[in-house]
Amino acid sequence: MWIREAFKLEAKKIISYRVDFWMQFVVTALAEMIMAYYLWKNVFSPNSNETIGGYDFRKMIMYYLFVPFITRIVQSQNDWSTSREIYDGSLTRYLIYPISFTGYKFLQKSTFSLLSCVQMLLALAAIQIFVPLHLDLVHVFWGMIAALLGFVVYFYMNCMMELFAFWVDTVWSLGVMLRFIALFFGGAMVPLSLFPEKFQTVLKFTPFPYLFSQPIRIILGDVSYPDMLQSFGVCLVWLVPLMLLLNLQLTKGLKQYTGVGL
Amino acid sequence: MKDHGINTAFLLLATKTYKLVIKPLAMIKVENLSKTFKVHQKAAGLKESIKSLFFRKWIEKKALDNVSFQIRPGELVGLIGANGAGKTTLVKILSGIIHSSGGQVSVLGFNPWDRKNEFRKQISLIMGQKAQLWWDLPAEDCFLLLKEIYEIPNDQYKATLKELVDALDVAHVMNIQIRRLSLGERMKMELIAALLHQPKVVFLDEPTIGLDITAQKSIRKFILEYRKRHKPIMILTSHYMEDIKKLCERILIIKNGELKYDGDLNKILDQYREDKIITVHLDPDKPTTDFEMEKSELVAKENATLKYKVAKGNEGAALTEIFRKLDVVDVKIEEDDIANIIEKLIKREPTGRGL
Repeated sequence: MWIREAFKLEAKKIISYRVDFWMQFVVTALAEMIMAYYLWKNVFSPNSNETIGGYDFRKMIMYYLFVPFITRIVQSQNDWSTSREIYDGSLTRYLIYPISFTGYKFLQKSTFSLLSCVQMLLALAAIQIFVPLHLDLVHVFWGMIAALLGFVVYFYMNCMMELFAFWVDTVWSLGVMLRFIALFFGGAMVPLSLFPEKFQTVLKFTPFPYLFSQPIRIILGDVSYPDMLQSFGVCLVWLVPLMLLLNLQLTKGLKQYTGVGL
Repeated sequence: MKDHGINTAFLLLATKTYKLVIKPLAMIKVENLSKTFKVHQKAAGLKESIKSLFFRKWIEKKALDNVSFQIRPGELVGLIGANGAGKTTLVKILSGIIHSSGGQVSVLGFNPWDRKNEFRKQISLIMGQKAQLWWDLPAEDCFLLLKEIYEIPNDQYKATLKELVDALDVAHVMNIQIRRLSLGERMKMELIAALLHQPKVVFLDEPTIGLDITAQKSIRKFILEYRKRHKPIMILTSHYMEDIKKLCERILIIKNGELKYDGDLNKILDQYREDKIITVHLDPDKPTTDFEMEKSELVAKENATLKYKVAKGNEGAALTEIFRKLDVVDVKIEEDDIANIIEKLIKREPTGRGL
């Protein structure tokens, strides 16, 4: 199966750049953690049991501990490789070889996400040595499943943005816009429980809360099993139109493709 | 009357034979193929840039116009034309990369831009200017991936890989990342990657571009040997006339998107080979001052070596005059260079279907 071979190769590629794989993560995670720690330390009153949006200070910090892990799993590599391959004509190889372009891209990104899951487990084990995290492994498992489902949804949304490269000269701004919207409405910047309740209800019908907020809340044990299954269901429902739209976009885009750089 | 009847019968027989036997043999059939690109046009300057945000000006550029030809199994056909003539567009359409705007194309019985896997498993495209292999991976890993993509049986994969690696002499660089290989080595790897699944149709788009003479020669030699052994259809585009001369028997000349000539390379060379060059080596001990001839034109002079251009058919008279007027030590007659002839062909718009 080419999928197995491609997965092996992609994993090999990521592992061969292991310093970058870890450095990128550690630097981002540390910066985000330090920022969140000092920000919320100033927001919460000292020596009180105050809660904001249902989070006390400890839980808030735990939430932010998982943000970089889950962001990395869901967003995978933000390397713009899909649009770049359209611009520079590398897409041609996927038209000549009997494989699907988006299929290969999905495989590439999912390899990174799966390795990021392993990275998260290793990092959690390392943190656990110094600071007890009191995590339930079953919750961590389901949280990772939720994050991987979030990855699939985000992949389709991001790929759709990148496929606009068939029509416009630069799609960078579209990608950045999606990234910001997803992070903001997905709860990667602040927990969604800080938003007004009506807005939270509206958000539940969009795919965004299931990208970051829901997987983190599942890991922290804040989501009941029925709610968790419901969120999986919402993701799967969103996947249907996303898949159809992406296919349509790709078919139309390939008609525009001129194979530049060839 | 009787003769007329025999002629008609012969004509009918020939037509039937063509329709039933020869025509179906064609593995690539192109009929009235056209391709038009829509190009966004924008004048220079900030004002025009802002204007183009709201009002875009599009122009239509005809890349191919009413092109028709057929290619039979085992043929190696050269596509010739100036930059922008439409050669690469034709290759892109035949390999299914881009859609046509009109006309019919059938490659191995498939419509290329349906991009069916059965079709893609029988073709390959080698682009001298564009790497298809994954740059971050060593060639051997790329080939393993291609083995799975093309579902090549293990034994066939091992045998084909060995044959190709030996022929191209690249065993020592198989484990080096593609990005770290020299241009010549990379091209060889691209060739292996394209031939691993033993395609029935191979598109070679400038396979020797940018390579040094040795690498060019070795690639040419490889293509010839491979073709002899496996007999795929090969369609070659190249600006290097040596490639065309050494590899192709049949050429298609394309100019401004139109097929201007389709036929035998030697035939067209004979037809357009108008001049010959006579190189004369003089005796350096017997200085001469009058080099002008009536039957030939002096085109170069360096020390005791002179070059005369003479029209086809006038060689005898020109030589007689040269021997009469000069103290000749040695003389050599050469044909006009193929590159010059092809340039003339492209400029002069030859027409013909020399098949």
